[in-house]
Amino acid sequence: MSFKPRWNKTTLILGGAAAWGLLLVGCVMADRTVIAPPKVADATFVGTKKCAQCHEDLTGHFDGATHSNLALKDSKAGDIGCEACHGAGSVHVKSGGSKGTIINPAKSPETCFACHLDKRGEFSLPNAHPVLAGKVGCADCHDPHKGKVIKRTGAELETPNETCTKCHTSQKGPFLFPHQAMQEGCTVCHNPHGTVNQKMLVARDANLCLRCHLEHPSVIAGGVLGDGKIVAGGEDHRTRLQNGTCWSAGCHEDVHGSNASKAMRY
Amino acid sequence: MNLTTFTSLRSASLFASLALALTVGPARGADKAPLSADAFPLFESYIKVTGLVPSVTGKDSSYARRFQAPANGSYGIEALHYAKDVSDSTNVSFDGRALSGAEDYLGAFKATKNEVGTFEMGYKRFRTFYDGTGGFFPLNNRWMTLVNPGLHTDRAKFWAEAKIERPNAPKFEFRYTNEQRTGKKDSTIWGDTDFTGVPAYYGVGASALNPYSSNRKLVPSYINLNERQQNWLGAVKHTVGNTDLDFEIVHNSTKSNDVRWMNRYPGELQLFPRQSSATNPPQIYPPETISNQVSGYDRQMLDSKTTGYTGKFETKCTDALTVFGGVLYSKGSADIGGDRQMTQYMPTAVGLVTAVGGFVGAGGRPPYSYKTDKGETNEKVFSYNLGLKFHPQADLFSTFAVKYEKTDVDGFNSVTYTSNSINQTTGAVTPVIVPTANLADRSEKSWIPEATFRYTGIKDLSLYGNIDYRHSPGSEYGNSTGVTTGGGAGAPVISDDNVKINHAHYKFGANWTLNQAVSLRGEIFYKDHTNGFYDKATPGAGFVLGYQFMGTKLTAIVKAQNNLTFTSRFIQQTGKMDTTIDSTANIQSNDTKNYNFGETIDWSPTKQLFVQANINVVFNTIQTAYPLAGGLGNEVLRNADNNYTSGSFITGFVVDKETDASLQYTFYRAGNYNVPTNASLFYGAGVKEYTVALVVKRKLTSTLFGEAKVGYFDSKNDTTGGNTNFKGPMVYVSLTQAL
Repeated sequence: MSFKPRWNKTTLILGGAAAWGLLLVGCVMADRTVIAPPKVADATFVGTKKCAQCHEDLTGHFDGATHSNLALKDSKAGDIGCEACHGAGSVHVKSGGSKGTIINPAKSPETCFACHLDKRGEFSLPNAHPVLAGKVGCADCHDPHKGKVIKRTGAELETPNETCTKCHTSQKGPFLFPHQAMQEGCTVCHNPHGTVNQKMLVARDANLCLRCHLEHPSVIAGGVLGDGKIVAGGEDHRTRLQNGTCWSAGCHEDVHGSNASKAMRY
Repeated sequence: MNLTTFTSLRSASLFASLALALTVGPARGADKAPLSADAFPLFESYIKVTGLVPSVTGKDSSYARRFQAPANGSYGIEALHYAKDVSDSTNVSFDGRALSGAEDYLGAFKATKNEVGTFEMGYKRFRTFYDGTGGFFPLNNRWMTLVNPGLHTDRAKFWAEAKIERPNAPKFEFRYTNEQRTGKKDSTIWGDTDFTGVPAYYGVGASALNPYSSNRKLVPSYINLNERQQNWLGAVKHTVGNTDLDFEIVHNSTKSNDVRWMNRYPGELQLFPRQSSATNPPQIYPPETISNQVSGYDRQMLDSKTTGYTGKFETKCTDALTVFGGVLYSKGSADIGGDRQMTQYMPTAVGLVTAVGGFVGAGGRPPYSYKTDKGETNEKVFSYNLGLKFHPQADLFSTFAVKYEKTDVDGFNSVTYTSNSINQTTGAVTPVIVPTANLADRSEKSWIPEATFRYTGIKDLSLYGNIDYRHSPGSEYGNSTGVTTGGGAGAPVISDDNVKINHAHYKFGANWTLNQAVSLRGEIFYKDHTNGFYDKATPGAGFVLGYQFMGTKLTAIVKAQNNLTFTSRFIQQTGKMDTTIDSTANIQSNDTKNYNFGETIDWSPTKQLFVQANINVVFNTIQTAYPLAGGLGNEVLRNADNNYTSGSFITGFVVDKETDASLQYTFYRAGNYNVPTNASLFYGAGVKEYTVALVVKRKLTSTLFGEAKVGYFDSKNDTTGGNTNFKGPMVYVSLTQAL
């Protein structure tokens, strides 16, 4: 038994026309607002001071947060730092903080995508953390209320990779022979928002490794630039690279670090 | 489409038809509920029951991976929230989810008593899907798959947390979490095959006829994950005068036992005796006789315990000056273990012999099989920071801070390599057991000063900046011993280096609100990095990596009309890297360029209609050896292009007083896949895909909403030779009932 849906351009055109007709009829018949995310219906700005009355724990450190650099103001409400992401707060305040009267960006990335258009594109790629599937949220890695939004950088106490290794424990180490790139951060090789490549790699082939490991051919005997050799680790890797990537089976398999091979072979 | 899927689809279609029929009928109870501005307010307590059924034509597992949903559909409770005030000051709530098929579950209870604290505990679990693909080689359309490519892993978490938050008293927090990750996921550590169509020759003059290897690594592999992490946290926060104090102890226990399964040269076995190198004229190897199959696993084990102590303070000295700082100390140790058993299949005069780590003498390098006898690592981290927030006037805010961090790591790993010398004449197997040791010891001391500022003294303009610099001198010692091609212990590979890392990061930006209609934001950044390893024993010897990256982010938000907004974003990042060996041989190892254009249009021509369109266009290229390598090197590797375009369109509109509808369309295209030459294996993404859906949402009664979604998806993948293509319709229905 087989089922073959006939979805073609004619179907789409007719379906679209029907939906558009439905839309026009609806617009005439119903005097009601449909809300495009992420907005709060019929709400107006109240200002951050209002928010602080109940949420002092969140607003108290916002002056040092990355997003405070936006310094958004409304002509009537003044500072609207909170409402820039959570939506206008008048309905929320009036209801005494009822559920559904304010936007919670932790539950949907749409608020973040409003400005970070590039992240919407990256998360829509086939190799991305499942944010669009609702299994991971922006707030799992970023704290917009306090400190840097890219956490644990600069003079902050904790180390940057904890953002990743709190979930990816196998890559935490410490390894006897760590990959130095890990010290610079997981983002040297992975874009956590998503890439066109498997495992969110910024490059899927040997270019990923050669960025840091390509060496001048003269480090091996008789080597000159342009002689066809691709040198890394003091050896010509050209033949190996036609077989596959640097981290293929039998090569440098333990790319995050090894406890038995200084060359991270296994 | 299999029968089960069809039956499920038919059931779901009936369900969808029912839901659609309900949505076009009169809204029961509509007269009882006042019409609100939004006909679909969020209920305080509710349950949402859903069903999702796709009908996938093509690769089921690739559909599951792409949409993170099972190809056989899912159904159950998508969301349950129940909240109740049990007294004037106490509230309890319960959240739940149970989606069969997707294997997505949640059960969480929370009790809150005003001015006392909260208690919550819960369990959640979700599934991540993988499709277990390997590589594709178009010369002979080579495509190899796992027996069961539909892989998945499950992440589960149990937590219990209590907070005591009495007014004007120290606030206490106690939390326990237990997280697990189990299942199978695919790996890009692909195995070898000679079934590539690239001819390999043997005999006199073979090397001249055979410039390219026939070996390509495209055989899929997978990892069996078994990871567990527990955290015990105790924290106290208190305010004394103008000082906020924060102290925290965290104990972490992590155990992992991950096994990667690999298969190299499956289906291949050399002849015995081997094809003769004296054959004249040279002959082409039958591909199934070029290499010997090697298969097995690599197990990595970790059992670590770490305890960390963190203390922080922040004192508001005056309205203009706040001092802050903290100390962190953590100490941990881990039992480490490896178990790698790669079985070699070897032809002999007496038949096939299999042996772990099998080899036949010089040139027959054993496939590295070993087992840890005893191993451990120890890590100590001590860091502190001290800084001040300076707020001399209302429109100027700045911070100055410095961090010191000292990290010490040492450890050893005593392993035993197991190899087996195979006599191809007699078939006799002689074990070669080699115990070796691995040692490491490294230390690093980092100083990181940082300054930030924000100035808002110019009307409608915010200027900000950030500068931080990391100077990390240290030392690194490593001693690793492996085995030689003869199976014996190799010479120790020893490194003893002074390490110097310097990293500077500068960022400056401006946000300008020209008027109510136009906002402009711009930011530039620059990174300058040096990473040097200098041999202690040989002056001038060593490896130095340097890079400079710079970038720009520009955002414009233009409200052309009250109901029409354009948001544009442009990001460009360029960078160059270079390596220097032994102070002399320098080469530019990387030239990266990335340009990202994004546009979002929000348009609400009437109260009853909105349109939102998004598009992202990305140009990204990473250049390393090409074209510097020249000659055959340029046939082996080209630049890594990662260009793509993605976008979405959604229009939502009011159908009648109780019904909303929306049309949704998404697309993604990447055209980076180049057909490999005989000398290469390209991996770039070449994909065309789209989804389209019609959604109808109806208020059936004042407490019951229904939603039906009918859609279609189509994904074509050149990189996998079309072997992971999939397409088909899908149906989603939901009912949301207020509680």
